[in-house]
Amino acid sequence: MRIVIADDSALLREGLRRLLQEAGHDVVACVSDAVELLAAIDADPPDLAVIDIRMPPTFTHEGSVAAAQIRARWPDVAVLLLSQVIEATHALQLAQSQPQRFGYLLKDRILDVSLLTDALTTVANGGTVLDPEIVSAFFRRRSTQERTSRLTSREREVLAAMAEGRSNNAIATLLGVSDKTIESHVASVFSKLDLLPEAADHRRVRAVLAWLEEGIG
Amino acid sequence: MSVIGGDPTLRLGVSPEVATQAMCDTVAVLTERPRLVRCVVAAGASLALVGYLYTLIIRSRVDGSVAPFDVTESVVYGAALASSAAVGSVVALRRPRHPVGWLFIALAMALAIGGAGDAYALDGAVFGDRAAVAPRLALVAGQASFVVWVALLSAVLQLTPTGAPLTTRWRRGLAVSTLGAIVGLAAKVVQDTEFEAPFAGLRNPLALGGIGPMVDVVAAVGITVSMLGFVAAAASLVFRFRRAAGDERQQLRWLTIVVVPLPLFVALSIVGALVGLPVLRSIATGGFVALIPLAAGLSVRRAQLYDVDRIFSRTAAYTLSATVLTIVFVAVAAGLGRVLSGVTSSDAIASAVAAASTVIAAGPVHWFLRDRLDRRFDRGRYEALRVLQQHLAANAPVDLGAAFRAALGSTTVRIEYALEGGARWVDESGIAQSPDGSQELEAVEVMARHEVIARALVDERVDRRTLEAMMREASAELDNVRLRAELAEQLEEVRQSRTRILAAQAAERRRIERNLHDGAQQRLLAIAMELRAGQLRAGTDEIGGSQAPLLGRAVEEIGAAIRDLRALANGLRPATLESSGLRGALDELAGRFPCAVELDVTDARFAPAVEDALWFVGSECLANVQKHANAHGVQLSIRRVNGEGACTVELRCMDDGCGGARRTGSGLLGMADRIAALGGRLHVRSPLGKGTEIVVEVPCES
Repeated sequence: MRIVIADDSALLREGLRRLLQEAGHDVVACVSDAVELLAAIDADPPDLAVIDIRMPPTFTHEGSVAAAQIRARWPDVAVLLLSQVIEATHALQLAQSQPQRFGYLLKDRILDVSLLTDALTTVANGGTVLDPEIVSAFFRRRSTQERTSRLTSREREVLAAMAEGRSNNAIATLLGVSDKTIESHVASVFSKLDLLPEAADHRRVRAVLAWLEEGIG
Repeated sequence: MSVIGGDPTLRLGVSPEVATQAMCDTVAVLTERPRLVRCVVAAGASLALVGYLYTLIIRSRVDGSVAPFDVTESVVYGAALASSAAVGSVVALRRPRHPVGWLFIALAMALAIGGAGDAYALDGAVFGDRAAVAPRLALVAGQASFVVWVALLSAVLQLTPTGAPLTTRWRRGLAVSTLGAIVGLAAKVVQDTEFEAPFAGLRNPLALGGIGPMVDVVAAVGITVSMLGFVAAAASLVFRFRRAAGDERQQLRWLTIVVVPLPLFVALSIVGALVGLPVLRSIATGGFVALIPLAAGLSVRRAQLYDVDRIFSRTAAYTLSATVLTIVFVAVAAGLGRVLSGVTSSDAIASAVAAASTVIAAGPVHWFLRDRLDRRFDRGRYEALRVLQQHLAANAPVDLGAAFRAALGSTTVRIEYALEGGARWVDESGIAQSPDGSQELEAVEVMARHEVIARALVDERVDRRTLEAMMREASAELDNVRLRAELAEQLEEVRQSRTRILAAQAAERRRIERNLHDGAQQRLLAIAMELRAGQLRAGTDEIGGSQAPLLGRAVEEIGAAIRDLRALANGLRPATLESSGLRGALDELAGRFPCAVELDVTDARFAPAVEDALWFVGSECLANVQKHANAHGVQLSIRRVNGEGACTVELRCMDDGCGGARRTGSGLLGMADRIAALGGRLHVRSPLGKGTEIVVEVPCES
């Protein structure tokens, strides 16, 4: 996979480059701010851009802004946003407006190579990945606000794993149950969230988003 | 008939009250037209002048025959007339709505007509036909005119200085006495009087012969009623003075001009009668009559309200010392003249000695009298000090500003207190004031222990000597308030410094949080990634394969360190507080809470200091519930409360636990401190076994 990295910290940029290369990816450019990022993508559009949310000059959400521009100009380029702490607002706005080819993870999450590889694959294939921390934060909010939740705790665990971009098979392994059990949980989640059957991957993304949307609203 | 019987005044045809109303209406019409006012005033004053001149001419013409021309009497009469006319004109022109001006013009006209009537009659009696009707009518008019001016003076006394009688009851009294005067005047006109010389033998041409005794009775009753009315009117002034406050009281002080020389006039009259000099009595009467318009006019015009007492006591001091010095001169000259009469026939020595002793006595006598009069008659100062002392005697904390304003009758008075010997000035709550005082107000300072302690800022109407006397009187209390103000100022400084310390602490926390995220965490992350990359390479490398698990464990350790750091930074100040406010941060916190939390937190954002403090209190409350309360559920709400002008944020945390929380515990004390630094308050209600409720209110704008 051809990847562009945008991060203002040279140390981190280098570490990430090495890690991605070791994981078998092709890092075509390493840049330190949003302007350079857009120039690099314009020169040679990659498959995926890994972007730090906080970048110069203000270190607030330049990365999200750049991500929105990339998605508007190069819809084929997948975006994976990274941040040091959860900054949900902008990332979720991006996810809700256009969930395809989009991911958002905390930086230290990428140390888990299998999770990173799963996420990169999911995003590059048109899926959505959200950091478990964000997902669980919203689950917590839901659990505090709406005690009579429509989902069972098991179904919520399954939904959280879905939000992390895992397949049914991976979820089954994670929770230590059979594939068939996971399938029935997933079907139950879909029906409880009123999601009609269509392309399977999209329905998984929408399940997560529908849940998050309710949580935010 | 019931129509007539209903109201007693109706039976009289036109009641005096209706007449007064009609007069007021006329005045109201006049005030709309300033030119008309000027014409009427000029006509009245000219008529008075013409009448006086006519009187003078006739009197001088008949001089020597039946009535000798009395210069003193003419001057006194002229002074009374001129005084009424002049004061009446000035007041009527400046305040046309005020009845007193018009009453004085009427008085001047009545005096002029009376004098002129007498003169015309005299002229007729001496040079003309004694039996002619016109001179006799003029004589009747002249003789009856005193009833008119008594009635007019009663009205003046009742209506000074406000233009209305004191109460409805007094208004009725004035109406009755005016009615008495009208009846008396009418009876006087038709009364069959025996005139005195030089008119002896003349008879009133209008006399009603048949009912003569009845007319006499009616005249006597009417005139008595109007005279009683005059006494009552004088009494009304005393009542008015007792009741009056502020400016009205100051206005009334002008009337003391009439009251104070009264003993002198009485003395003059008595001396005149004893010595056989009727001139003295004329001077006394004329002086009295001339002073009334002057005093009433000054009172109505509100002239120099705040200097009345001083002007008055100064004048009185001069008059009295002049009298005393005259007595000294006469006594010394006469005594010495008698002693020396055997030695020399010349009075020159006696006169010289008398003059010398008078000059020597002049200074001390004047200063002595002035001091005594000030002490006795400077009522303003006396009253002001009395009011001040009442305030000072009150048990409650004294509001010295209010006390001074009440005592001086001035709303602009301000008291400021000196710190560091006058280098800085503060008000009673320790709030800094401009060291230069005010442009419009003058500053009067008071010292204690050789150091200035306070100052009063006053406008030019406030009497300086009164103010200084009051400052001296209140100096102990001024010093007390100054010390309290100093303390208040220090407390305010401490409060501000606490707020600054908290703000600095919050900024420092934010800085550490950023540094942890962007510095240490990033660096650790970079190292971990390098290691992970190394591990991946080692895994594919046959030689380094054995190193791979080691590297893997190192990455795990570093990952744990990063998570620790994040938790630490979050504990300082959660990143969500900055990005999504109190609601986001507390939502996240509640999600990790072991028991049920019912959150109701506003989405509104507040100043960082307020959000920091409320986050601190909210998380502390939840931590306390978890640690101590043994509760099943807890409710936490934060809402914005819009009060009058200022908005506040209210945090309320209630649990169903064991209660018994103490405000003095270090946790609650820390919360209370942080809230107090923002100018907010923290209330705790925690009865044993009935849960704990903590309510915090903080101003939004701190």
